[in-house]
Amino acid sequence: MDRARQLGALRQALASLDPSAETGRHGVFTLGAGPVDAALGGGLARGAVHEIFAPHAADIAAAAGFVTGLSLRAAPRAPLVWIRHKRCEIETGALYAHGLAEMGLAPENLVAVLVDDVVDGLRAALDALRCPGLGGVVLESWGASRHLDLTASRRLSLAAQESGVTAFVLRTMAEPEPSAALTRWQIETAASADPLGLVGRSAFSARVLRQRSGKAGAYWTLEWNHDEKGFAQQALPGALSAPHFDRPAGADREAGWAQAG
Amino acid sequence: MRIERQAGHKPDDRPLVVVARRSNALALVAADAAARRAGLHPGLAFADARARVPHMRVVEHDEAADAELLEKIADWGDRYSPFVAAEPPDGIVCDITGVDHLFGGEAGLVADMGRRLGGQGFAARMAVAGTARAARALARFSKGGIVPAGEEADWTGRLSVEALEADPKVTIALRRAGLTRIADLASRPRKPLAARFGSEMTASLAQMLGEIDRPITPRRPLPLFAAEQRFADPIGLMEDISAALETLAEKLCMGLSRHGQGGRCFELAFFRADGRIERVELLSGQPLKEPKTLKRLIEMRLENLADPLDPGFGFDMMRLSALAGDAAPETQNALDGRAAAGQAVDELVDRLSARFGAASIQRFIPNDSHLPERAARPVPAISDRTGSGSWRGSGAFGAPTRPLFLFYPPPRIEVIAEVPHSPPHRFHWRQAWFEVKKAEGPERIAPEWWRATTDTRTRDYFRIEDERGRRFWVFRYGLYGHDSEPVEWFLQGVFP
Repeated sequence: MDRARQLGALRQALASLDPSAETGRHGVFTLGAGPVDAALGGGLARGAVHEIFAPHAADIAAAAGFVTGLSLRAAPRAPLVWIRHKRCEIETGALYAHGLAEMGLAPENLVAVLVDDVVDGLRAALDALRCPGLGGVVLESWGASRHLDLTASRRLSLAAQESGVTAFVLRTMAEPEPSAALTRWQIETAASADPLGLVGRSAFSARVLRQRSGKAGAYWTLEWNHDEKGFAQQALPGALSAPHFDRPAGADREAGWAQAG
Repeated sequence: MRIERQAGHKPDDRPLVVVARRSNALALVAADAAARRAGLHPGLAFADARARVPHMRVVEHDEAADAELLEKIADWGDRYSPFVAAEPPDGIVCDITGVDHLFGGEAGLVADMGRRLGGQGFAARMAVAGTARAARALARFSKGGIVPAGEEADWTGRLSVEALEADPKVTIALRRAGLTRIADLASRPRKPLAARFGSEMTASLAQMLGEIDRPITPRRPLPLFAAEQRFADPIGLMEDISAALETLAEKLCMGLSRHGQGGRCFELAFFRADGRIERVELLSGQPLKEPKTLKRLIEMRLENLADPLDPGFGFDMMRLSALAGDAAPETQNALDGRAAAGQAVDELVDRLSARFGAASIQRFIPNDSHLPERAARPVPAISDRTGSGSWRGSGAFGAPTRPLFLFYPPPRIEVIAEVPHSPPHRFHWRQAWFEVKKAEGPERIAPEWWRATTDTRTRDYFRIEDERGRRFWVFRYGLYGHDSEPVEWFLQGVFP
């Protein structure tokens, strides 16, 4: 008992020394899927840095969708600043406002910033994180960079704590490095589960690589619920859920022409 | 003058003349002081001139370069007044109404201008008069000088009729009629003169006599407000510039806020001691009237200039002007502080725009179009453009119908698909094959025939998913058996 108490006291002392452990100040946001939130200890902290890695170039859209979802969970109606390396625009295409609008992000609330290099991106991100009116800041970079190191992420983390704005660092084609992020995720695309075998909701296979206040290694297949603006665990393949009542019967590959324009 | 500068070697004191082809023969169009002393005057045939002074230097006339130099001089004249225009072939005209007191009166201004132009190696003749035309005539056809108010007719009356710069035929006709001086014309009734020599001549006569004036067309947009500072000693250090900037920003913002205005477009002009002018523009999304914010934005802009500010031998004047503005009401924060938060975001957008360029900071506007690339357009976040359409609601049947990332222009892909209407079975993009497992579509988007465009083929869009769960938005461009060109496939976007 004595030992446990001593350990507890030591932990508290350490926590008070570590500025980045100050999580409770700006509250947490849930992802919307019960078991995931439970595993995360109630949700993700606002006013902190969260890293999202896309291991392959092909996963970037999934990772970006996941980040959009997180930012909507963190602050659904506040402005979002999305800082992109110009290289990302070439590799993955430009952010498309109608796609974001379908996910639930009002495009009026989005400011996209295109920067030439990572240093500019960091400067812009720090500036944006110091602006308390924002809901979130996304810093998207392509490839490895020596500038996105521990010092840089500490700076981001301090700025985020100060203002309560949540920072999402979205990285593609890069190896995780030590950082001041509270959580680190690896997001890959996942096959959509649709009862009728059609292209369904956005799906992500999400792995927690690191979590400051809990266990890492958890793995879920999540999907984004466009109506409820939240994540949900994907139903296991084969488990047939009730078909959508508003889907036309017999809609399949040979579906009739959907004419527009 | 331009030629001496260009030469760059040691001065040559042989007479210099400039020649050009005039009615099929070479004639002198300009001569320097040495050539004039030797009796060579503009207008002389080149053959005669060569016979008189065999050892002169001859340069061919380059009108474009002269015009360019004149534009530069007119730019430089901006330091005296915002109303400056080039007066081809060899003059500039400034409207100095209300600015001469800054230089100690008209005489002070003329002296300052003469000294500076002389310092740059120009020989200049200056005249100040009530109308631009009178000043032009006095500068070009007399020694120049400062005409006291209302005495234009006396001064210009002494000039010869050439000063009217009318058509040569008119000038000859005037001389033949015995009218050699402007004063001869001034005393005559105008109507018969107009009937005989044309109304243009009488109009320029009236302008020259100070009866009517023609407006000067300024070369640059006139600022709403401007603040300027002159330095006795040219400055070049960033600290000095920054200190001057603070004063200028305060002065300018005071002027703006007195009129309830905020600036949205600013220009900072640095006048270098050697005559060059560096201009830096700054745009702002919201009307700015806070001197501190303005100064900070300008400093960010200066730090991030593509080619940094070159002070050379120093700047002897700086001018900050607001070119465009908007009404900026006094802000009153709502009780919940939401207005303050919104303003903080606007200021952030301004800061980022100043640092990275307005085009790099984007927001999106919806457009009333079915073509995906036209339906949502990025615009600079600080512009006040609004869209014409609306945004999509949440995806149909719970699944997204539009991608998160859009390629424009879309890359071409190689597709294996059943003709004519099937979705792809496999496709090849960026050196890889993608096996399509699920597909949904087509969603047909017809070309917008009412717009003049080369994009005239129907697009059939499919949402597809490959075996690894990657979702793409592809389209078939054209219909089989419908038009002569082969059908092509493109990748338009990527879904999360």
